[in-house]
Amino acid sequence: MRTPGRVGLWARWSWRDLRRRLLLVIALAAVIGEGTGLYAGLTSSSRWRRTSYDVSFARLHVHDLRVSLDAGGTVAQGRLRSLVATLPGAADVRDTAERLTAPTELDVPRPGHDDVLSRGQLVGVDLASGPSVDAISTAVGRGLGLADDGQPLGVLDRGFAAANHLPRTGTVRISGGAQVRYVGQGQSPEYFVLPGEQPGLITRSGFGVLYTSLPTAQSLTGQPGAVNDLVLTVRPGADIAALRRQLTDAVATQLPGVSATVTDRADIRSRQILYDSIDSNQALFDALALIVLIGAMFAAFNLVGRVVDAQRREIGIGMALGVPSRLLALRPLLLGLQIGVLGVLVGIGTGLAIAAAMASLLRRDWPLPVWETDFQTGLFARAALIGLLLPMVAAVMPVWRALRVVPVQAIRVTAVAGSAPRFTGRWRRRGRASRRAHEGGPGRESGSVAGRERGGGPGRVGRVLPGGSLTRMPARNLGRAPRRTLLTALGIAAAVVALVVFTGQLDTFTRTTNAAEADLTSRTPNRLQVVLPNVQSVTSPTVRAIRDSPATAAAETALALPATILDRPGGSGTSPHAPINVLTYILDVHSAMWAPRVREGSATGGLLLAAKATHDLGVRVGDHVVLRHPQRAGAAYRTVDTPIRVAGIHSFAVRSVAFLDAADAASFGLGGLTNALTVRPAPGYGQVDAIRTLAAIPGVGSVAPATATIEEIRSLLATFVGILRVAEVTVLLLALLIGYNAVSITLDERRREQATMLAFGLPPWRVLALSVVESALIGLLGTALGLVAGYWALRWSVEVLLADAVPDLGVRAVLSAPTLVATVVLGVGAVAVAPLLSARRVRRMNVPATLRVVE
Amino acid sequence: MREAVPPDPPDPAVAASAPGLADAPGLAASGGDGADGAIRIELSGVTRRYDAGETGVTALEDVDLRVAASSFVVILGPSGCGKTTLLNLIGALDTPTTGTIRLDGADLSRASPRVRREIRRHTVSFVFQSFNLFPALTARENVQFGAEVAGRAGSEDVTGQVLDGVGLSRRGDHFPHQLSGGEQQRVAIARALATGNPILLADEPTGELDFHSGVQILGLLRRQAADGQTVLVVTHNREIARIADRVVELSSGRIVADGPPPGGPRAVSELHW
Repeated sequence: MRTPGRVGLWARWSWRDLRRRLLLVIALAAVIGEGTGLYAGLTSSSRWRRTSYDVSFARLHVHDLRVSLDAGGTVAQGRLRSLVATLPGAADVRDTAERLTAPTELDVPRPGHDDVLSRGQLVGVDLASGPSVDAISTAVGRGLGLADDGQPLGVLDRGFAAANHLPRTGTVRISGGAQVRYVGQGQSPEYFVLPGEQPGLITRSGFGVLYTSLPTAQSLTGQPGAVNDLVLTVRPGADIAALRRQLTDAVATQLPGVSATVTDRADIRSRQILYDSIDSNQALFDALALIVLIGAMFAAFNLVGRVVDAQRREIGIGMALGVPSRLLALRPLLLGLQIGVLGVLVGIGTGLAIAAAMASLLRRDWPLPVWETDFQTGLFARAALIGLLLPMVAAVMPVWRALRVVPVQAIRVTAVAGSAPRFTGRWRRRGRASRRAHEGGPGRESGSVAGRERGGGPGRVGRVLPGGSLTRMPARNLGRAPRRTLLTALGIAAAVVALVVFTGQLDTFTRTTNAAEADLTSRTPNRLQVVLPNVQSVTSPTVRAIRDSPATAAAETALALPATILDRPGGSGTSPHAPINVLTYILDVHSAMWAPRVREGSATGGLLLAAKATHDLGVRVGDHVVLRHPQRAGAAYRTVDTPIRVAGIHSFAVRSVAFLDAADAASFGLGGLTNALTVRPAPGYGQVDAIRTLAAIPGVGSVAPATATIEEIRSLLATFVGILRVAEVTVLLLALLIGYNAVSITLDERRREQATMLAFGLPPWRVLALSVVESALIGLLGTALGLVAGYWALRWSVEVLLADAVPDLGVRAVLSAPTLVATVVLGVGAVAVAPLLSARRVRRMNVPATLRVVE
Repeated sequence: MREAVPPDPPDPAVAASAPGLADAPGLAASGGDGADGAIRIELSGVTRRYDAGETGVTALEDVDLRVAASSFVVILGPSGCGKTTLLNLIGALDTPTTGTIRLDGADLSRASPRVRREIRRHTVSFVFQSFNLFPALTARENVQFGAEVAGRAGSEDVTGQVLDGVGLSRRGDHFPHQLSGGEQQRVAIARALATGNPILLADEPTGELDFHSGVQILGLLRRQAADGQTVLVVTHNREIARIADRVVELSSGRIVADGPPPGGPRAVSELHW
């Protein structure tokens, strides 16, 4: 006969345990695996992105410094290059490239679909200087070569083409009616994501870049020999800040009639968004992964602990038989190890699946030239270690507790799972008094201790519940083991928190876009925005042509002025608040066609700012700020600082949008000028026809519906909805797994109670109904906790993380009523239905065998 | 094994509720017939076989048994003789392999699970060796459970009366873990009595109790038979059989003896083990 000391016996015993509880072990492993896998999958993207961005930017020689002329100004080709040569630090400059950039309309036919009409940017690059700075990475078709110089050929923005499902090559009609054949699709570093030169929200499908040769761009825009942009790279170790100052000074002194902005690599908007979003996204991903992992931890600790507790009687028997403690501990620890190993396998699979999905999403939404998505062994190993150790650690405490119980107590029939902690101090004292009353010498009733060892009742609180005995039972059962109830509820709460954050973000964006759409579609919803490539007189031929166009019923001029707002004179060096770049729309704030809605203050008498802008500047309505803007000086422009009052706060969430009444423009030296018109289409002209007609007018930059941005954002949100649904299913699955595990173990622990009920003739459905109600109560508790914590997590993700990633967007977190109801229904429902998965087991319970006393 | 110490005075609560009953000698008639003579339980040729892999186990073989109403019957036998199986069959928790079982004339043997459930609700009640009280309910609520399941009107009044009858009206608000073993078993008996069902089945009711508590319990059960219930008690303790109206002895699944105890039924107070 084998002795208990042989490890093989314990291994076989543990194997039988596993087979008997296989479904439960798999479900537990799934909880742990989902948590650790989600953690690994989500956090793996951070390193991918950083590495991929670094390599992509480096490969395309992203510029270190850039000089861009403001307000449509240009200089002769070569002038900017020669300016660089005069710099004291010229030796540090490695490569330079002049460009001509201009806003344009992109009209792209799509075979079998509606044509794409969209705003865009025309970028003419100097092919003669080679791909030295801000090179174009061609992903589809071919790039431009010297042979293409001056030809009506170009490379279309890859992201724009992909978002609009455009063919590999084709023809683009731009503003003024000229046609350019695009021979490939590609991108340069500045336009990797969200063409950032346009303030406000721009999406991939709504804005495209067309790269042509410099002579081609000059010809298309009617500006032969002109450039308005210079990009350069410097040698490693060069003092970029010093070179920037030198450039600024050189522009001011050598190009006096020109207003120009000098920026460095850190100012590249797409680069900012890409790198900043790593940290902010990662913070959100880490938080979400941690929440799910914590939920899995709570569930694992609670459930593994209870499974081990259920073995307490057998441990006690072993102790009574003299089996060493280390062997007694082996069996439950082996169970923990089995769950851990399965959890690791599930976790690796889950992690790989999520990582693959993330990689696919990143490549699709941000098509960089290089994506490095290698398998991160270290990260997955860490996650695997967590998944392996978690159930084993969860088993240690109950094993230790079980080994401390006096054997004679442990082997009593009624000493079943879980010595639940005392519910309240008062109850504890009553328990002690009860024990003291029953201690004593011979003649003490032998059955008296058995019930107490099992642990607490629900205490005084449970006695006040109304209804019959069966009605009170579910709530009482929860009160019997408050620690377990809380742990299970916390696991569910963690799942609900993740759900609330996902859906809450969608609610927030939806409400923001709905509000913006309501504002934009007031008065004249079908109006069009015509953008001119430069600032012109309101009586210029282009403006007259627009007014006189048969597609125009009415037109109003406006001026879109790039500017910077400072909270005080002297600039950012003397202020705790960073300046804000804005696009100030100077227009008739009393226009019948459209005017911004004022939330606070007045539309006249000063600037109308976004609430986010006032918050970030630390100002209120009535305060004064400084507007740094270009001002006409004769035939040229200069940059001036103008103190101006904050007249009011408009309703848009975008910080970079400001408004100023046209009546106040004269004081800015900007009277009689325009670079944007609002047009009401003439009757009989549909939107597309009107856009085409107006875009064909020489000198027109781009034409777009007033609600173009809203429509683009809605299509972007449609993508999020898909991601959201996946997240919802994942979280629901987690909640269901937690609920199922908790119910399974509860059913195991209470099978004698259930058998007793069945023996008294209670139908199985009523026995199950008690479990359903009990589960629903736990689900309710968990959902309530999750909603409260989830709301705060949502606010943090929107008002802290998102604010860091997209500082221009000022939104407040919102959780809609339908989302709230759906979360409650899903959170409570998913857990409440868990007992029904065990309906067959209850229905087919062998009552006599369950009630049989093992003597 | 006999207790070497003299018995303690009976529990005043139990004694007060049934003055003199626990000590009444010579109670109950001879085997087979109760006070009113009607046959309440009838087994004919009942066999119960279990398939356990390649071998089968015959727990009961060709058992014939008739139990009259208002009788106190002890089913006696060693472990594994089939006495619990017999109780489970009578209690509609199990079905015979062959043979018929009738309760008050109704054939239980081939009844559907729903019918058997109804029988458990309205005809038989159980008292278990390990009490099997619901730990989340107070003593009063455990008893109330019995009344509610059986659909008895005025379950709260019934509960109060029954608890009083077992001498635990002052412990009604205590949870099972706050009660002694004897008190818990009394609550279990009260729960069974609260159903109002005519047949009471007790499986080793004193198995987890000491002598004094066991005597109290047996006294309660004995009183129920005197009050008109049909009580079947399963035990391996031959001493307990001395208070029965009739002792049915099983061995290896067969009835080997059936009749009154030698010398007639004794009073509960005469028991010693």
